[in-house]
Amino acid sequence: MAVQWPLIIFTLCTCMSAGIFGMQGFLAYRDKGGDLQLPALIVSVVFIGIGGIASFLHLQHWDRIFNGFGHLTSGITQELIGIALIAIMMVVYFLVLRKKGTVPKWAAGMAMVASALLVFIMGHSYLMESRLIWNTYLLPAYYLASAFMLGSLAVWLIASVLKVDDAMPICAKASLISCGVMLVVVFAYVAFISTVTFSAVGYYFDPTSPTTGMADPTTYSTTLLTGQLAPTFWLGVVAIGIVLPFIISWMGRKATEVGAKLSRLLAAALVLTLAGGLCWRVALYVLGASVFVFY
Amino acid sequence: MTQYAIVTDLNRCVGCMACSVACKALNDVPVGNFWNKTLRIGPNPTKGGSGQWPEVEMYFLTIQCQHCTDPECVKVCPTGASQKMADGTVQINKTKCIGCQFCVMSCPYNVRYLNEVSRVVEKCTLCEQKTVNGELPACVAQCGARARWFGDLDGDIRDFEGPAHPDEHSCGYEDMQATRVKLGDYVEEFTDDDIHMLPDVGNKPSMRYILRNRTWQGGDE
Amino acid sequence: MVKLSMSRRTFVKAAAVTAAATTLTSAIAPLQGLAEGEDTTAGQVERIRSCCRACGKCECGVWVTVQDGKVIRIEGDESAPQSRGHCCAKSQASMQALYHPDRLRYALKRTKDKGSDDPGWVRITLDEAFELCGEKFGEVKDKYGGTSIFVMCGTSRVWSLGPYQGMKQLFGTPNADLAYQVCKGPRHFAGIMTDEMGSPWMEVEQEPSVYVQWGTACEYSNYDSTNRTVNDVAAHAKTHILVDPRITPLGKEADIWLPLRPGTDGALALSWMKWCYDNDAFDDTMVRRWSNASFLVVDDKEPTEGWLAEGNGGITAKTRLLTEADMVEGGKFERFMVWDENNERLTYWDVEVGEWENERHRIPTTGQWIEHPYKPLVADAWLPDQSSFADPATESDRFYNGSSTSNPKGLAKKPSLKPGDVSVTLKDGSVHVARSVWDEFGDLLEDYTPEKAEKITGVPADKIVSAVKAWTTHLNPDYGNGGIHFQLATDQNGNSIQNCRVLQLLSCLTGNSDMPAGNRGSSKSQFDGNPGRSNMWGADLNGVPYGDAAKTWTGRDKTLDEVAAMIQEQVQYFIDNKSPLAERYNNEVPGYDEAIVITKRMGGAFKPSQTWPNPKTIYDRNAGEIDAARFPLNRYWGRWADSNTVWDGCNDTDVPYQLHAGLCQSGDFMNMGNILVAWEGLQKLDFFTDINLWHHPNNGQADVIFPCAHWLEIDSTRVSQGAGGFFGCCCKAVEPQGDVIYDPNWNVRMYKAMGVPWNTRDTTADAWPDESRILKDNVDAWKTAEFPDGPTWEQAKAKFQEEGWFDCRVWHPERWGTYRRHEMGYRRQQGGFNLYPLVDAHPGFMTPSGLIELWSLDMEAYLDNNDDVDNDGLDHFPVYREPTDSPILHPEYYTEDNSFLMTTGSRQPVYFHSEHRQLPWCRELWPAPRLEMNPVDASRLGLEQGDWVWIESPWGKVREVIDLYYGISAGVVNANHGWWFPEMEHASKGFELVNINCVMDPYGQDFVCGAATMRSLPVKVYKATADNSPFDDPVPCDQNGVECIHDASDERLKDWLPVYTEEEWNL
Ligand SMILES: Nc1nc2c(c(=O)[nH]1)N[C@H]1C(S)=C(S)[C@@H](COP(=O)(O)OP(=O)(O)OC[C@H]3O[C@@H](n4cnc5c(=O)[nH]c(N)nc54)[C@H](O)[C@@H]3O)O[C@H]1N2
Ligand SMILES: Nc1nc2c(c(=O)[nH]1)N[C@H]1C(S)=C(S)[C@@H](COP(=O)(O)OP(=O)(O)OC[C@H]3O[C@@H](n4cnc5c(=O)[nH]c(N)nc54)[C@H](O)[C@@H]3O)O[C@H]1N2
Ligand code: SF4
Ligand code: SF4
Ligand code: SF4
Ligand code: SF4
Ligand code: SF4
Ligand SMILES: [Mo]
Repeated sequence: MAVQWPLIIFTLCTCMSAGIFGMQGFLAYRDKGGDLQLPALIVSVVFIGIGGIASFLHLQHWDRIFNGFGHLTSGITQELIGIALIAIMMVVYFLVLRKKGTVPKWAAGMAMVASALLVFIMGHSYLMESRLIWNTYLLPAYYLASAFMLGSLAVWLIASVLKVDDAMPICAKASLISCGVMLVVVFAYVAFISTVTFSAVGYYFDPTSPTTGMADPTTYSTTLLTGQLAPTFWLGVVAIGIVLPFIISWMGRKATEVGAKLSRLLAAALVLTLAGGLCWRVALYVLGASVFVFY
Repeated sequence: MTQYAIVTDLNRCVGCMACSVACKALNDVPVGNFWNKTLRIGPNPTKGGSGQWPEVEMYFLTIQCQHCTDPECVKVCPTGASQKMADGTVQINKTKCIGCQFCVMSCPYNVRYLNEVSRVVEKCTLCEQKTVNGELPACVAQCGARARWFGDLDGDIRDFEGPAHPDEHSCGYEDMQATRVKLGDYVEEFTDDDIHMLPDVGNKPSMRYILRNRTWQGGDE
Repeated sequence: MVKLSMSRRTFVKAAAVTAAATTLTSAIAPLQGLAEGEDTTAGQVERIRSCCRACGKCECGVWVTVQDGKVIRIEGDESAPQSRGHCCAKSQASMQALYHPDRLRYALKRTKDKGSDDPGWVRITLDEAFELCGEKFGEVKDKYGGTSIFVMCGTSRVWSLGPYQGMKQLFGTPNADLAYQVCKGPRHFAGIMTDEMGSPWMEVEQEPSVYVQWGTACEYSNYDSTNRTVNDVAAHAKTHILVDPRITPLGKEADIWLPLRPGTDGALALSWMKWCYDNDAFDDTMVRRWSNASFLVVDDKEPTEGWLAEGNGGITAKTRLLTEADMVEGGKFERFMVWDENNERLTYWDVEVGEWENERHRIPTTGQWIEHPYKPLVADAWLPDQSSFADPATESDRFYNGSSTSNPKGLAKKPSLKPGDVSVTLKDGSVHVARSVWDEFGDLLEDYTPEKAEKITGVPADKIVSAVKAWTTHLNPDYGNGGIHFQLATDQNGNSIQNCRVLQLLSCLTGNSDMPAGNRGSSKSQFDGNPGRSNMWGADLNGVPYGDAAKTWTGRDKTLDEVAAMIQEQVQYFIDNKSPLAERYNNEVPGYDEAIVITKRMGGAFKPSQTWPNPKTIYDRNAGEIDAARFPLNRYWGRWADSNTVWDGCNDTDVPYQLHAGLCQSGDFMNMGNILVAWEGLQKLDFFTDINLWHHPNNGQADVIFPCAHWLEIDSTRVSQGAGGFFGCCCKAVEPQGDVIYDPNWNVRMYKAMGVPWNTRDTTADAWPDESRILKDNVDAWKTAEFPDGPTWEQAKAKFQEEGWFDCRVWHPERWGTYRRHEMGYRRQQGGFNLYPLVDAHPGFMTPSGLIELWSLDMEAYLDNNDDVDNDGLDHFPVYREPTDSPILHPEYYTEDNSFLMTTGSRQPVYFHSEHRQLPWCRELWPAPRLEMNPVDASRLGLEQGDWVWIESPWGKVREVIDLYYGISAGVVNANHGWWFPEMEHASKGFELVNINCVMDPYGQDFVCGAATMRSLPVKVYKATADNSPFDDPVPCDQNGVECIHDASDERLKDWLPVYTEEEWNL
């Protein structure tokens, strides 16, 4: 399936946004990181904004969006509702933060739950019977892991920049755990992909694109590990997207002393994670063949 | 209930693609996009044969919107632009479509595409503008091999109709349109085992394919 | 078939189901207008009944819808039985040609040198263009003579066939380069030498009970039966046999597939012959009574010479067949001797009177009516029983002189097929051994046992036997299972004429020619389907010689009245004998007036000797043909001059004289032979002009181009080619655009430009008559009670609009509504088909011997007994020759790992040869040329689906795209033909990059008629890569490095959508 860049940007940004929102909620729940709450909220809002714009760019007639955007079985309707709700919660979060200067537990909990829910809904909307490799709860699980990783790293970075010391150890730990979770989810996904079988069709010919080779879904199980997508997977998803961020997190975990160096390292880790997330999402599109593989 | 559909006799279909052009001529489908296509399946080694030429077999497979009973595309559509109609067809209300293309992704058969000019998604309408007037879909009427038949899947597929010759050379255009023959009275015998459909992942495609004495490729779970 | 007929109104009611809301959002109003259909309220809608010509094959009845003066749709006419409502992709895309921005709409003149990439076309008026042609052709003619001009034509655009006849006469040249040479021509040629010109055409529409699909694929070609028809035929036949190296779209359904090595059809057909020969599978009456199999041959006598009439006017026979003239002083050479095994004596067949010794042929009065699958749209046809030799004991009335000397034992004659050695004494007293043709043929067949044929063809012997057995085992006691549907492949794979002869002979001798669903030739209709092909010269003018009074024979030269009287007599005879056939005449002898109408519909008076045949045989008249030395029999045939010799003529390579100018109408230099040679030849000409719809490689070397009208803009008569049996009209749907010109008018104006009158026959019409008068000529023979003098074109057309297609069985019952016409005396007609009148009422055939010629007197005279020809002296029989460059003759061409035997040209359903590649709806469905290759070969060579590959032969190389096709044998590939790139700007339009005929062996030709061998060719195939391709691009590119279109998604296709205003027309 053709790579849909706006949707990739959208899911990436949404994961980032929800991850940050969730992570700051977690910190608030643990009564930590009070000073980064507002900046983190702003960053989170910015990312959901970018994501929203990207998804709007994907729509061809967003002017019509209000003519009837209420079809509840639809994943994107749910997604839109999710985004609307989380936006409202962000506002609420902002208001209580402004009013009280701190985040009450209920709000912190709400942020965590809402973030997770939004990411789940977003992932869920891609669960389509027709796309065998998408049609697994590992997909929302992946988005959750992605949000977890991005959120931990981003908030850690914010903490290091703003020198919010009390948040640092938690962020560090969360980062390290998120890398592990990600590794597990990705390899679980790879394992899942290797079990997906497309029915064999043998030779076939689509007259309208004679210069295109035949689709060969029998290679999908191996294409990530050893095939055409191996560089994307090993280098992009695993090395750049998980291992390097893990190493950086490991190196930074003990850094009680915050400084520019750590911030730079964490910024790098975040960028690497984004890149890794991009690679995986692209790979999923490439593997997103329909059950009916002829064309 | 009504479920309009097309049955294609794949032992008759020869891949001449007259159906594709018929659709274009009627429905203004953009160049480069297709509401129906005919793929060649095979030649593949015949099951139980030597595994090599000349023991091979092939058929042609016509693909278009399957007007599914439980269409994925309708489920995922946020605006309700994609709808299941009373006649069983699945239609897109172009004034509602926002072009999100989730329906495109969700359709198992890749029969939808985004029209680059109107920026809404399109696909086979089963020629509703014709069938509502009692005419046959263009691809059925013009099928080069009289392989396609139109009718209501809730009835017997042997009652599906195709174009037939009238009894007078002087027969006019309108009367010609109204002259029909039933699938069951025209095509070669077939059994229930010869009736196939495209792989179903819960969407329940409505189109049927008759293929005798050959291996149906691609599964129809 | 049960048909349902529902009036429109009731259906609308039934369909008006109340729509229930099925989704959350809304109650659903019918979403009409979702699809842009034709909006009947938007403007005036007109439906025109017409005949499609988006391909040159098959007259598909169509309805053209015109809305507000624009053609918006073309659909099949279900009431047209010859096409069964068929309307293919090409037809439905016709509007895209009519309104194409790049269509030629004005005459153009070259301003830059030939050979330059840009010809520098400038627009001129039609008058200027014709003037230029008159001047240039005039100059060449004066300087080098008319024969230095050649005319050129493609296939079957039926109103653009001027070069087949009239244009040759205009310049006085025998040199016509015609696609006919590789298409149908060989079958017509073989037919005229076997039983009838064009006889291989099979009446597929009648639905044979065993369908033998031999080297043809009508599902894509619609040649000359439609996809719809052959689909029904294959489904209804008890057995479907496919003879093809490839599995084909329809052949995939076959019960028996004989996958032969390309080019070996002759050997396979001879093995069928051999099996029939050994297993008495022939129809005894056809062999013994109606063929020359029993004729005696004396190998060691001097050939006997004499003039014999036949379809082409006559030949000077030179034969080793034993004739009466060899035996007795004053004996007739028209009497061919045979051994009568019942009466144990020599007897003879007298071709001049069309009788066996002393026997008068009695037209069978018994028989049966054969129903057509499309009854009642098609009338029943009469199948007479077979006649037999007279039995003196019971049927003395058959001996017109009252004697029974020819049957001394009182037994019916039985010409012996296998008499062994017969001792004969010639008139000089010498004693010789005579053998029958059948015995000699048996010797030849020894080399074609199924086992031996397996070695040649690759088809397992048991499959060969099962196929021929299935075909010859009668499923109906009264007649055979149908003909052999052999079409294009056998014309093009090297041994054309002989391939066609052996196949047609198989059909004849098994009793399947002119039988229900048999090989029965061209529909005999009341229209001539080729307007403007012939000029309207009076027979006594313009140098056409008078006929020869000396060449008369009994039974011809009958006036209208005399023929009418004969008909009255014949009907009386049917009535007297209680023949069901009398029903055809309402069981009444027709009165004089009615008899005249019948006579006229049968073709009128029998040709008086004064107009036909010519005093000189056609062979003698064509001595000056440019290919006379290379292909002597083409002199006899007289339709074409060998194409390859024509190009050599332009290039002055090994020819008797050079060619200096040429004219082309709806033809294409890319259609045969090696076209790189042809392109070079065109460049050398002093003058070349083409009339076309497009800028096309064919006019890339022209000096002047004319724009022709499109089929939606013209009127024409149409007759179903082949045995479909219907006639009708092509009817103008819209007015012509720009300066486009109707092809027949172009012919007439070319005459005018040369100062030669087109018409000298009709004193009431202009020397250069108008369209309506030209068309009148083509409907003139339709003399009916309604139009006793024949309708005008306008009347005929109006009748067609009203009444639809006309059934030849109804309007021409004697000559089309009757089978076994050789029994009836309805088959002796001058060469050509359709309308040519009968020349006499003899039984039998219009061959030199008047019978089916297993032993061809034509071949014998002009090849075997021609000192200039180097052959084994066996061509009187349908011998098998390996194609010129076959793996057997030239194993050295096939030694590499990537060597292949290539066949080409299996039809692409959305194109007609080089046509339609600029129509978006066609190109997007078949965007690039394909080379089919067995996946086993491909994987060995590292080739994948979709790779561009080089196809290289010793004579050239081009690129096509690999199509992994398991339906073809390893070691064999199949290439698409006709490719060029209209998207490219330069004069050649990229043909040299992609047209497969660039790799043809220029001298790979049929020994007899020169037909190019395009279906058996040595090539090497390898992947096109950046390294081995110009512009470092494996995809063919124009001279600026821009890739050709090769995918449906190419945006350039959209530039070719219809335009409706003059401003948008390109030059
Ligand atoms: N390799 C290979 N080559 C083959 C064959 C094959 O099987 N393999 N098949 C051969 C056969 S069977 C044939 S018949 C020939 C066909 O050979 P042609 O008939 O010569 O081929 P076309 O490409 O149809 O070219 C005809 C030309 O006429 C133009 N034209 C179309 N309509 C009209 C019209 O109404 N009026 C005028 N004036 N011009 C018109 C077209 O634009 C085109 O330039 O090709 C042969 N070539
Ligand atoms: N769409 C379309 N229709 C056309 C044309 C076109 O260009 N396009 N051209 C028209 C013209 S002019 C013609 S003549 C007809 C021809 O129409 P057909 O007679 O149907 O001929 P083809 O499709 O060229 O070839 C028929 C079969 O010959 C097989 N074949 C190849 N080599 C050999 C061989 O050596 N022996 C045998 N036995 N079979 C062989 C091929 O595999 C193919 O299946 O089509 C006409 N109709
Ligand atoms: S028109 Fe009919 S025969 Fe031709 S490809 Fe379509 S379904 Fe098949
Ligand atoms: S085939 Fe695809 S587009 Fe058509 S109804 Fe089914 S899911 Fe929807
Ligand atoms: S593209 Fe249009 S029809 Fe498809 S899901 Fe989106 S709104 Fe519905
Ligand atoms: S039913 Fe109508 S809209 Fe659908 S593919 Fe056929 S012609 Fe096109
Ligand atoms: S087969 Fe030829 S004549 Fe018939 S519809 Fe197609 S293009 Fe027209
Ligand atoms: Mo042809």
